[in-house]
Amino acid sequence: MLLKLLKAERMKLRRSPVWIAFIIMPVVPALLGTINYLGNLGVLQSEWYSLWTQHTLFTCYFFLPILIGVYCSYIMRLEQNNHNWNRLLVMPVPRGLVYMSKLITASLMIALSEIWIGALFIISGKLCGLSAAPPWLELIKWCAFGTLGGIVMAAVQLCISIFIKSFALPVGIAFGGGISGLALLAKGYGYIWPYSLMAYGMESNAPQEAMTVSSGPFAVICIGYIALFTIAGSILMSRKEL
Amino acid sequence: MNEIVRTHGLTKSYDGSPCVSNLNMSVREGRIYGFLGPNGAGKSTTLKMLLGLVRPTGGEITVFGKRLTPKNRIEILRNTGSLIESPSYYGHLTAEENLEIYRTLLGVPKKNIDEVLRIVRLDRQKRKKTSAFSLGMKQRLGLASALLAFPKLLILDEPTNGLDPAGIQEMRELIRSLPKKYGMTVIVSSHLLSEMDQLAEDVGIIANGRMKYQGELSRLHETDRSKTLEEIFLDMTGKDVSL
Amino acid sequence: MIGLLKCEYRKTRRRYVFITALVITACELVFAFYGKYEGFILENGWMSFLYQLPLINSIFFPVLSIVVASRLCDIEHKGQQLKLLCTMTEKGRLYDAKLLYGLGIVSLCLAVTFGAEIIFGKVMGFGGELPVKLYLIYMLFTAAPTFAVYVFQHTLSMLFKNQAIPFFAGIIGEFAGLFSMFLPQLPALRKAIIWGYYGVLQFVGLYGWTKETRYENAYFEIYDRDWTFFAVLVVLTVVMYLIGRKLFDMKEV
Repeated sequence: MLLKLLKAERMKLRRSPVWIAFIIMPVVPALLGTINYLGNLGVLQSEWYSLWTQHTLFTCYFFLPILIGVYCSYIMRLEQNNHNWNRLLVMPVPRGLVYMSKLITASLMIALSEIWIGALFIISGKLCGLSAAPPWLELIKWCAFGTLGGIVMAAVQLCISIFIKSFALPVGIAFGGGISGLALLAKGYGYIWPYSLMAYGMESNAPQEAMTVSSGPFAVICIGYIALFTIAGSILMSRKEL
Repeated sequence: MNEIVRTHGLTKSYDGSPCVSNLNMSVREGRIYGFLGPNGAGKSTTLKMLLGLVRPTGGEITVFGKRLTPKNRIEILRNTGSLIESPSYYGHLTAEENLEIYRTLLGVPKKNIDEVLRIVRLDRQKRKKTSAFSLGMKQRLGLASALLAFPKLLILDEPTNGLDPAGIQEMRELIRSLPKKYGMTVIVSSHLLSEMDQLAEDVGIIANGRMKYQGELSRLHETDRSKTLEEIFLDMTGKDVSL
Repeated sequence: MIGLLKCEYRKTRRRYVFITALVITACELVFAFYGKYEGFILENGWMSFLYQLPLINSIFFPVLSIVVASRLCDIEHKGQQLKLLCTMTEKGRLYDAKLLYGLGIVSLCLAVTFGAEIIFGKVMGFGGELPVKLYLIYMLFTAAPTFAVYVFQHTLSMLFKNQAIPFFAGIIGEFAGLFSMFLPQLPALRKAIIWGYYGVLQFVGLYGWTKETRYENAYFEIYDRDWTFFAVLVVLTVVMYLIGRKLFDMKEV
C-alpha cells in the first residue's frame, strides 16, 4: 500500500520542476565557497576540511532548512489546491500512510541533494588540486547524517504543513527553525534539537573535531525523532476534517 | 430491499451550533436517492460524514451493513466513489495522469481509465492539462474518477454544477443508467427539485440540517394534492432561501 | 489608491502576515545582538554594529521579503481572486496597491529593527556618541536593497501561481548575495545581483584583527559611501518595478 502511495506521489510531481532548485542551490556554495577557499589559502590550511566548511556552512544553517521547508510546503500544497484532499482521503488507504509517503518523498529529495553536495565537494577539491586523498569515510558520514537530520526537519515541517494551510508560513518557520538550530548548536545542544541535527551531523563548523555525541547515539536520536513525528503526523492526518 | 446506507440520529455541530441534526437517512440498494435541500442546508456535510471526511458529533452511520468506524472505513471506501463539492484535480497534470494516480491507489485495472473517460466523454481531451479545463470538463473528470473503480455506492454532490443544458441532460441520463448497467446505488444531491424529476426514485429533503421528508418521490405529491411539487418543496425548505 | 490599500488590509485579516514578519524581525534581532559585549567591541559598539549588521541584514531581510510578498499574493491565487479583482480595478493599480502594502509591512519591520538596534546600543552603553548621520545613511543603505529585493519577490509572486518558484529564486539569489560578501576578490559579483548590495553599500571595515592578537591592534575604518552604486540600485529597483508591472499587466488571468 505504501508503495502505491509513493508511486502516486511520484506521479503528482511530474512536470513540476521543484527538484531543479535542489540541483542549483548547492552549486552556489560549491562555486563561491571554492573561490573563497582559494582566495584565503593562508588562513584555511586544513585542505579538504577547510573546503568542506566553505561549502556547507551557510547551506546547513540557512538554505537547506528553507529548501526543505519549501519542498514540504509544496507537496502538501498540491493537496490543498483544487480540493484534492477530498479525493485523496476517500481513497482506500490508511491516512497515516499518506503522511509517511510524503515524508519518504521528501527524504529522497534530501538524500539526493546530500549526494550532490558530496559530489560537488569532491569535484571542486580535485579542481583545486588538493593533493591529499579525499576523506571518503567522513564525507559519507557527513552526508548520511545530514540526510538523517534533514529528514527529522522534513518530518516536523510536514506536521506543520498539515494544520497551517499557507505556503509561506511554514517556510518562515523553517527559516526560524534553522536559526534556532544554529543558536542551540552554539550552546551545545545541537544533538537534541530537531532543527540543528542536520548541521550537527554535517559538522560544517568543525569537521575535524569528534562529535560530542558519537555516531550511534546520534543516529538513534534522529530515528527517534523521525518515529515521533511520523506518529504525530499520522495522528494529525487521521484526525483531519475537511 | 437491502439498505446500502443508513444513518441514525446523525448530528454534526460546529462550535455548538448544529449544522446537521438528528438525521435519519435510508438509501436502498440499486436506487437513485435524491438528496435535496437549499444551499447551506447541510447536504455536503452529511455526505462528507458518509465518507469519513468529517467526524459526526453524534449518531451513527451504517454503510453496506457495517458501521462506519475508523477501522472499516477503508473497506467501505473501496466500494464507494464520490464527487464532493468541487472536483479535485492536480492542475499541472493531464486528465489521464490524474486518473492514473487514483487508479494506482484504488488498485484497479488500467483499462478502467479509458472506459470511464469514454463514459464521461473526455476521451479526446485526455492528454490536455486539467488546469486548462473548463468547469464542465473538470466536473466530468471528477465524475470519471468517482466511477473509476465501478463502485457499489456512488455519492455525487451537485454533479451538474457548471454544466451546460446539454451536459445536464447527458449527466442525468448517465446517472439514470448506472444502477441497471453496473448495479450501483447512487446518492445525488441538488438544490433543485426539478433536477430530480425523472431521475431520483427516492428523495430526502433537508432544511436547516433536519430531514423534512424522506420517501419515494411519487409519494411527495400525495402530501398535498392542491400544490405542485415545486410548491411543496418550497413549503418544506422555506421560500426565501430556496432558488 | 487609499481604497485599494484598505482592501489589502481587509484581505490580510486573520492571515498573520504582520505577526509573521515581526517574528522574523525578532529572529534577526536575537541573531544580531547575540555575542559578548566587552572591551574593544563595547567601546566601539556603534562602529561594530555598522560593520556586522549588513551581513545579518542580508540573511534576514530577503527572507522577510520572500515570505511577506508570497503571503500577500498567495491570498489571490488560492481563492482565484485575480479574475474577479482584475475586472474591478486596473491590473497595474492592483500590482501597485499590493506592492505598497507589502513595502509598508517591510518598512515597519525595518523601523522596528533600527529602533531596537539603537536602544540596544544605548542600554549596553556603547562607547561614544551615537553617530547619527552614519546611522541614517546605514538605514537608507539597508532599506534600499531590501526594497529592491521586495519588488523582485512581489513581481514573481504575482506572476506565478506556484509559490515555490519565487521562493527558490529568492533563496538562491540570497545565497549568492550572502556569499558575495565574503568574496572581496570578486567585486563585480555583489554589484551584479540585488542581494549583494547589502555588501556594496557597507561602509565600515574592520582591520588589524588576527587570530593571535584578537582585537589588540584592531581598528574600524569608515570608507566613502558608495552613492554611485546606491543610485544604480535605485535605478535597478525602478526598472524592475516597471518591468514587473508591465509583465503583470500583460498576464492573462
